Amino acid sequence: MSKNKTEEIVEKTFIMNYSKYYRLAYSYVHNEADAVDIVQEAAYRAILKSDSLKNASFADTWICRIVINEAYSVLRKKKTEALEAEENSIVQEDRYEDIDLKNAIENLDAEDKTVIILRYYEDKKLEEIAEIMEMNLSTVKSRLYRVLDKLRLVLAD
Amino acid sequence: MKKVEEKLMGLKKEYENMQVPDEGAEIMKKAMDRAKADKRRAETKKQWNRAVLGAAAAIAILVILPNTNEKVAYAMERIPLIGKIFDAITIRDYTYDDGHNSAEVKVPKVITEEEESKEHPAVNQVNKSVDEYTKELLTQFENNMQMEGYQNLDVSYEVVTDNDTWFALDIAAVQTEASGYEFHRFYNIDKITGENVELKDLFKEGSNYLSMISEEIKKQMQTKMSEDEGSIYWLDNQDYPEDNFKEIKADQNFYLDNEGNLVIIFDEYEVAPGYMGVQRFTIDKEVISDILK
Repeated sequence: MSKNKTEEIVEKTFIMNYSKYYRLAYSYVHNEADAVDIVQEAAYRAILKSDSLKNASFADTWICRIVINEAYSVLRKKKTEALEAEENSIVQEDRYEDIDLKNAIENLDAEDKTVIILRYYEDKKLEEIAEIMEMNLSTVKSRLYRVLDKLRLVLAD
Repeated sequence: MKKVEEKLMGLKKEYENMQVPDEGAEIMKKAMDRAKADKRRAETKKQWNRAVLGAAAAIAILVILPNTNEKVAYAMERIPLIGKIFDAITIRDYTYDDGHNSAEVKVPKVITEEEESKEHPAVNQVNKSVDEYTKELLTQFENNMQMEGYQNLDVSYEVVTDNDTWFALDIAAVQTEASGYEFHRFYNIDKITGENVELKDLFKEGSNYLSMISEEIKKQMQTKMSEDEGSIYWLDNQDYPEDNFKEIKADQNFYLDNEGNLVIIFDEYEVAPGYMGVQRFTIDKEVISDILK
């Protein structure tokens, strides 16, 4: 695969899946400006390093990983601000949904949250999650069960 | 088990109904265009660096020959230049413009108040090196003319220091295709010893000047970043550690300013994103006084 071809695939994948990457980013930072920033930074990085994508059929997986890593990096940089924004947005958005569960997910650490988002919101297979998070399958499995246990415990209170 | 998973399905609907701002897609596309331009520029930079390295090799050969063959004569000519007036004049001014390719290259020559025939070897060496270097840049420019698109090459010079004991000349080159890449080369003459000076020549044998200077620069980078949010240096980016600044190169560009402080220069993209431009760090002479010769 030529270098320009990879770059083109990455670009097309971004344009096609923009909404998905935006939602993914948003679920970490809960504000529009940061989510747009994450996607833009991820897009920049992905094009710049597109040569390191070896297999075009993994473009989406590879991009998801970059978006999530950018989200982590933004969270680290502005931990407190992000938390405040989260609280606000939960109040605004919650109308029909279960606020306890939502709060519980918000309080998970970033990686646990990633497992939940990818599995239940993005409908990813465990194999894909393992690929995105660069973990082996059994780690992802045990992590998922542990997180579900955690959530169940919170809800039982 | 069911219960939590069912509730998660409910949250999924909310996730899917999330409002996605249209303008974010435009911002994302622009970011990708920026990345493409930066990538092309990095590739161009590699080509230019190769050209510059080639020129440096050619200069080394030229310098070594007289050094070895006429060692004695050369040594005898190493007379101090203390207090001598130096200047740089343009000896060639190359301009070119065909609508697609344009160049403005000013080639300087260092002159002293001595008569032409008696010119000092250190000065000759600088002149010869400048000549080779600018020729190499022009060759690269001419090679690029065969490619499609637009390019511009701008080479200028500046005497940055000229006092009783030091002379420093800066050759600045700006190469532009989709966007610009600016790079510098500095020449230093110690008027006391009458010699061309490389960075290592400033310091005592065996001193760890590279790490000392690098640590001082890192400190200054940190300060600048904390004072100004817009200032970014590649210093402690956890996500892309390979880009982080670790140490200056043995042949890092430098000069001594009029007060005798050491100024270290980084080309664009060397230690910071492109928009930060060329970076200069002044190391107070007090900081390195212990290891200076």
